[in-house]
Amino acid sequence: MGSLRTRGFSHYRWQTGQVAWLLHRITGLALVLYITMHIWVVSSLQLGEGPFEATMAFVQSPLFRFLEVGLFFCVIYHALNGLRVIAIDFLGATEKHVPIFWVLVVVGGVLWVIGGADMITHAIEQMNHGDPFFPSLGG
Amino acid sequence: MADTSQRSFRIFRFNPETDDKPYYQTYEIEVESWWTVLDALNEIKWFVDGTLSYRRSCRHGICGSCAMMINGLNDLACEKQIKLIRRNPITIDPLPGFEIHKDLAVDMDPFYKALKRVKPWLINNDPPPSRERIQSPEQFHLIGDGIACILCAACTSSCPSYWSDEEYLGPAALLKAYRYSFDSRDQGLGDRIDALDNRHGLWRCHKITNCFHACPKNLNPTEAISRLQRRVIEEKT
Repeated sequence: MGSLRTRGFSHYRWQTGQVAWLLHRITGLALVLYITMHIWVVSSLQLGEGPFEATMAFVQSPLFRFLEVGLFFCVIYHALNGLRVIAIDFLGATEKHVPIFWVLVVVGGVLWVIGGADMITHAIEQMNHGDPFFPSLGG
Repeated sequence: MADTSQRSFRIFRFNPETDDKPYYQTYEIEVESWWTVLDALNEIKWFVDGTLSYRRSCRHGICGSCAMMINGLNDLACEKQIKLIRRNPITIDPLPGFEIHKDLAVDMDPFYKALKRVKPWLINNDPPPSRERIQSPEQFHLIGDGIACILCAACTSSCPSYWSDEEYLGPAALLKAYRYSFDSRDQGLGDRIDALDNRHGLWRCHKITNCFHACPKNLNPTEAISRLQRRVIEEKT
């Protein structure tokens, strides 16, 4: 019984910095997963044109188009929060890290909505009419 | 006329000798408007339930004994004014991350051991001068935070990196390492670098900043860790 301790993750209040850190870790792992997949997709080139086209058709499907919107979120979040951490590390911004976080949320949110809307429009077009960028794969 | 109000305190209880599991016990008491959380704990212990355990000593924010988690955030019970707390009941837990001796009293040994690992004392191999070693005000201000630290463990106990790695030095020990390594009279960074430059040392800090927000003395361990990280990199290159 002597080893009981209060669990910080479940009992301590989640403040901005801790939420920012957890999202940074999650988006970082997602990006590692994406880069691994990306290398796998590109590596299919060495098997010739046929396997490459097949792999590309798989990752150009509407499902992946929507997942790309999530990938876009991960890239934006990880990059902008990375700037925040750099500001804490090199510019002594610890005392201002919360307002910095919310400014970056707004900037990142705008970027994500603008870019994401474009990506979703494109994915819907692809579903309806075939892909204008990859006509051989569409429809 | 006494200015009093009725408040509830939901307090973490655990006696490892008799309890299988921890539980919360709620106490309803009359509090004076000027009371701190520590005053309320004293009222409960002295007049309601003598079995409640917690640490206290100076009751004016300098001994660091009564750090605990109040409504989910670490603070000193003796500095926390009850009338400024809107939530009711007020929930009180022991410092997270440390083993529980009983109720709100935790085992602080790992905290002091981590502190000792960074050699928190002046290291200077020059022959001692006949008088004190002079510092300029600027040199002093650089290390003022680390000197003002009362070692209450509110910061280390609030740190997610410490929750997931008990070997991690933690913000308090790293602040002390900063305080001595940036002291103009100290030459000991080389002696401390083994403790600092490893996976349980400086590099475990992810700039989550819970320590900065938890510190009841408004110190900034996060900034100290960043500066120390840069100093250690400079030292190694």
